[in-house]
Amino acid sequence: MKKFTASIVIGALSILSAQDFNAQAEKDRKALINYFEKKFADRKNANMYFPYSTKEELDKNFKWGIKWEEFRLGSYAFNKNGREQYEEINEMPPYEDNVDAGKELYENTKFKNGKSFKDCFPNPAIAGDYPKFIKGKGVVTLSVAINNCLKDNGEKPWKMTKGKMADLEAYFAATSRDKGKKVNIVIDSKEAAEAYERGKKEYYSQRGYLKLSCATCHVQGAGQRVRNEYMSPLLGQTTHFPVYRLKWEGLGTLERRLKGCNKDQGETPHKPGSKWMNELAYFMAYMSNGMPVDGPDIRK
Amino acid sequence: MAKMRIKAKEKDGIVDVKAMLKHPMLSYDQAKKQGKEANFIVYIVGKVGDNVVYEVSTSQFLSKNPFLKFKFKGKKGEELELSWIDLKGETASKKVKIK
Repeated sequence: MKKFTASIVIGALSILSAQDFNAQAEKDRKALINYFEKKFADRKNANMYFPYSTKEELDKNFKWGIKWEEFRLGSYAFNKNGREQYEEINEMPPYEDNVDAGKELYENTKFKNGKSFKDCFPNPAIAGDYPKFIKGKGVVTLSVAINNCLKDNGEKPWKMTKGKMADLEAYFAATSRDKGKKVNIVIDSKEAAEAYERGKKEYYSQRGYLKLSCATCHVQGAGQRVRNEYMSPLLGQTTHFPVYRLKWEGLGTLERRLKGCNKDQGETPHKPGSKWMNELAYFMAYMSNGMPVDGPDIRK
Repeated sequence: MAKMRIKAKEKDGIVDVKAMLKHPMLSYDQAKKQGKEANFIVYIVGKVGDNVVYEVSTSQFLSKNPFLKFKFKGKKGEELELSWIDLKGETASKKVKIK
C-alpha cells in the first residue's frame, strides 16, 4: 500500500511541476501587459511616461486607452497619423503576392526524395506556435524549422531573411490568421525555461556603441520618438511577422528585422539561426502569448 | 501579381474599384540615375462592355506599382476591363467580374 501511495504522490508532483516551468514567464508577461496598459491609459499620466513628447502631439496625435490585444498594431495602436496611413495601404496590401507565392511553395515544391513541405508541416496554420523549444535542438524559430525540413530532406537551406523563406512564412501566417489562431509559445521543461531566461537577459542587456538595450527603446521608449519615428512596444511585437516594410519595399522575416535592429544599436549583427537570435525571439514571442496571429502585416 | 490586381465591389448601385498595377514606373531622372531606360504608364482606361467608366492620362508623377481607386455606377455580375499602355508601347489588360 505504501509503495502505491508513494508512486501516486510522485506522479502528482511531476504533473504539478510540469506546469510550473512557465511560471516566471507568465509573471513577466502579465507585468508587461500591466505596464503598457498603464502607460497608454490616459493623457493625464503622459508627463511621467513621455517626458520628451510635445504637448501638441500628446493632445492631437495620440490615441489613449489602449488595451492588450490592440498593441499588436505596434506604434499604429497609439499613433493616429500612422494608423491612417496604415489603414489606407491595407486597402490593397502589398504582401498579397507573397502569400500566393508562399502557397505555391507549400503545395508544389517537390524535394529530390519525393517528399514535400506538407510532410514536415502537415498543418500550415502554425505561425503562432513558433519559436518552439525542442529537446536536443534548443529553440527553433519558424525559419530554422523550415531550413531543418529542407536539410533533413537533402535540400539546400534557404536564406533566412527574405525571398522564399519570407514567402512561405507569409503563407503560414496568413493561414493562421484566417483560422483565428493565437500566439501559443510553450515552455514545458527546465531547459526551455532556461532558454527563455537567457533570451530575456539578452533583451534587457545593453549592447553596441550606443549602449542601448532592446528594452531602452521598446519598453521604456515605446511611444516616444527617435527623430520622427515612434517606437513600437514589445507587447505584440512578434505577432505580425513576416512583415512588409515600406523601407525594404518587400517582405522580411523576424530574423531580418532583428538583424537590422542589431545594426541600428551599433553592434555587429548576430547571425539568423544563431542560438542568440533564436532565444531572443523565444522570449519576445512569449511576451505576446494569447494575442491573435496578425501576419503578414505592413510597417514603415 | 501578374500585371495587375483588381477588386471591384458594388453597393447601392455604385461600384467601388481598387486596383494595383505592376510597373516599375521609372521617370526620366530616376532612369538616368539607375542607368536604365525610362518607362512609365501613359494611359489607363476602364471599360464595362463598350462604356468607358474610367480614363486617365498619366505620366512620371505616378510612383512604382501605382494604386488606383475609382467609383462608377454599375451592377453586380458585369465585367470590368482595365487596360493600360506605357511609354514603350507595351500594354496589359485584365477583366474582373463586379462582386
